[in-house]
Amino acid sequence: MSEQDLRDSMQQAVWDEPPLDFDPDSFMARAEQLTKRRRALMSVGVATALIIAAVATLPAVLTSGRTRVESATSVSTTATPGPSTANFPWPPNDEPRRNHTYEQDQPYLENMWVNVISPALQRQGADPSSIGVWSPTYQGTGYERDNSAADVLYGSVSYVGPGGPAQLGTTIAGVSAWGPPPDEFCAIRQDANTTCNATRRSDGSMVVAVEFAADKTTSNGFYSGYRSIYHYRKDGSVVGMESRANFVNSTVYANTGIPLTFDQLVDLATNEMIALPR
Amino acid sequence: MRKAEEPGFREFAVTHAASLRRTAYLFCGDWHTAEDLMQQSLMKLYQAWHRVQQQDHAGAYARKILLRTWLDEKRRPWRRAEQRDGELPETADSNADPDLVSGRLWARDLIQKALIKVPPRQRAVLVLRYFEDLSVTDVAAVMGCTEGTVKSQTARGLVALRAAVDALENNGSAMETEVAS
Repeated sequence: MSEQDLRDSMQQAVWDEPPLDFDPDSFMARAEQLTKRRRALMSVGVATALIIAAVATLPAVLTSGRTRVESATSVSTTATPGPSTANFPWPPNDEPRRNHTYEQDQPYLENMWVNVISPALQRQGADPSSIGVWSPTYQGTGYERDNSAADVLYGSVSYVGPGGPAQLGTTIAGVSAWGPPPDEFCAIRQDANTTCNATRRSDGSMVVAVEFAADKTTSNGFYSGYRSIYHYRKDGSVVGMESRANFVNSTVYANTGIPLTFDQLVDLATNEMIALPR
Repeated sequence: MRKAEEPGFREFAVTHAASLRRTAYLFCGDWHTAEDLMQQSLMKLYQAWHRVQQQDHAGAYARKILLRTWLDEKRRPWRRAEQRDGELPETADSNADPDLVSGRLWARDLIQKALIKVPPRQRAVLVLRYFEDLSVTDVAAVMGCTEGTVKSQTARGLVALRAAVDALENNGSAMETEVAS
């Protein structure tokens, strides 16, 4: 079969073509109807996606709402009533406390500092070369459930962030070591210049956001505000991160604002890699 | 579609509906399916008409849509499983020229029994090249492939079609022999 034969055969093959029943008017009407239906379906889809996105992001928005107050000097806060912590029993289980000692945990803590906390701090804008020594120690505090064992690790580190000299305080409490549940914690912190809010996270844990913003202190004339996040974890441990400006010396007013936002602090405090050894 | 664009599309649809259906028939070998393919393709073209007008070659774009619609249809499970039982036998027309009728019947067999055995993309190339008389470049544009691919698909398609025609003719001879004996 030559190519010409094929051409001829194809032309002949359509000889018994049935009559074309194509009505342009009805076709156009149907096309218009289908287009409208398609648009309506798309609108419903977009609306559904927006609702899902809104529901998913609402907790984060509520938490980050406070971060809009970036300039600590302009913050005027008032005491707020404690958050509702209904259905959030604390401690969440009867797991026994562990008697952590610094000697035992030192290698683990050094490893956590090098691989987790310091990189996380750098991601929040800290100049790597400026980050000082993190010297954590276990010490009893008013926030421990009892003083029979010191399972709450405190430490702080100085660094230079985008806004100037800064200080990060870290609190890492072991399982069943941390005493006050979120509402009590807020009640303890209740003060004319303090806000304290607890927010339940989707994973069932609780985040407590505290901000203290006072006028310039009378002692040195510096502004002394801080912002902190305490993550009450489901396993009964607590990790807190506190950000404040660092004063270089008694006369230089180095940094006016609180360096880290609530979002940045939440990032640090909810990092599951930051925890005491189990 | 804006009201101002409607007359242009309407004119295109009226003038091209028949030729699109013929091409679709050569793709699928069935007038009913061809009608569906033509309608679906025009519907898709309606939704994309504002873009087509800018490109200024609506015919080629319509062929491309038709080809993709057909290939998509072929991938559907119920189409894959579908088995046609053939055409109803027609009654003889005593006024018709026997040679002409014989040629047409042969051509129809060619499409419905031989061309249908050629793999889909090769079949599409043969139809576009030998029925639509498109150049290799135009076929490549419609198929969305290179010109080299069009040439190789054409060569392979012709080989496959010739094999199918040979098989068809051998079957026909065998049947005639059976009838004579």
